[in-house]
Amino acid sequence: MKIQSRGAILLLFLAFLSASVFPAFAKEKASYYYSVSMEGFSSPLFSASEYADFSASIEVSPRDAINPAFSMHYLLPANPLAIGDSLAGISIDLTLFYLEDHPLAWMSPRKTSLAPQLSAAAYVPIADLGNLRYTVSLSPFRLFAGYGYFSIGAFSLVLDPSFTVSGWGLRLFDFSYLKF
Amino acid sequence: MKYRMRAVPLALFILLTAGAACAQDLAFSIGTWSFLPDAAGKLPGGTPGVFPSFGATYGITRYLEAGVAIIPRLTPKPFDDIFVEEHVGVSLFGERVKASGGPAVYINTLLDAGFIFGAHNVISGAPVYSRALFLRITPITLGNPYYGRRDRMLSVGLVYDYDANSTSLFVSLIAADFYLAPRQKAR
Repeated sequence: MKIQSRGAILLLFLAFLSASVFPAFAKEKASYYYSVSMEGFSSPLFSASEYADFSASIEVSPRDAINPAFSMHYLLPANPLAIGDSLAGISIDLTLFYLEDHPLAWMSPRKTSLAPQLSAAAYVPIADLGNLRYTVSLSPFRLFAGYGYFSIGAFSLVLDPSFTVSGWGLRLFDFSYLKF
Repeated sequence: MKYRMRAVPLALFILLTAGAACAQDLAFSIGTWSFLPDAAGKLPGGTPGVFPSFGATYGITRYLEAGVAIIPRLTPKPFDDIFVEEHVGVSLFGERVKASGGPAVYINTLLDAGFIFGAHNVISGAPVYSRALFLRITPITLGNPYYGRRDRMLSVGLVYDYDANSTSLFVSLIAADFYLAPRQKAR
């Protein structure tokens, strides 16, 4: 319990630090986006369901290299539907760079930038708030397309409360839409 | 009855192969495929999990197309269940390609009928197999071969497993077709 609390506090601290400090160095003001994604896990800490993840994010330094974002998540076991097993989460998401000439340009008729993302997230079951688990994920095939981002094929590691790897996950897709 | 059922995938295969030979609008596809439980609560894949779909579609006529896809289980046990589907589809609200080469209807609806073969316990034990027919409607498709890209959204299908005599639904939230030889790249 002690380690879980420390992990969550550390993540929250880093999230708020990035949300408050980074805008001071940013060229543009922060932007906001909401996302929907579908993912699954192979870990005893998550059920075998298909999960739908709904999230809202603030990115503090849009279109800059090393662009951090802070997100809140609602992770719903959607198939089979188990609303009672939903999880709430927070994450720090780091867009590593924006590459305009990239090998995935054929995926969209629009002009896109390759914008891979590294994320660290903490989730807690809404029905059992003391039971934390973490994920660290990489979205290598993530494109910025003006209106937002879309990503396919993100891979994540699932960590238990003592930060030991206890499985993995795959995100099939993620669509993010910039609000403003 | 048994032989007729065997003839279905064979006939589809011949149709698809013939179509490929003259297709100008070959695309490869990626998407999602979510199996829903039947009335008895049984899933076609046995247990829940994430199934992507990787496939190809190609044009047969201005309205008709055909496709094949492999649908492997990725979680929690990768490749423990593998489905293969083949289908023919018709665009309901307009041509998918224009004979003139100009832009065809951008927003359309697609109706597919096909066969799906499943191999189960591929990794974890003695494999068992399933065979089923399916009917799928995709209410919204955006794009066509002219634009080099098409998105298929909110597809819903009915699967009839004729060995188990069970019927269930499946959903594909989104699938994207990437045409190999786009006639026009929209910017």
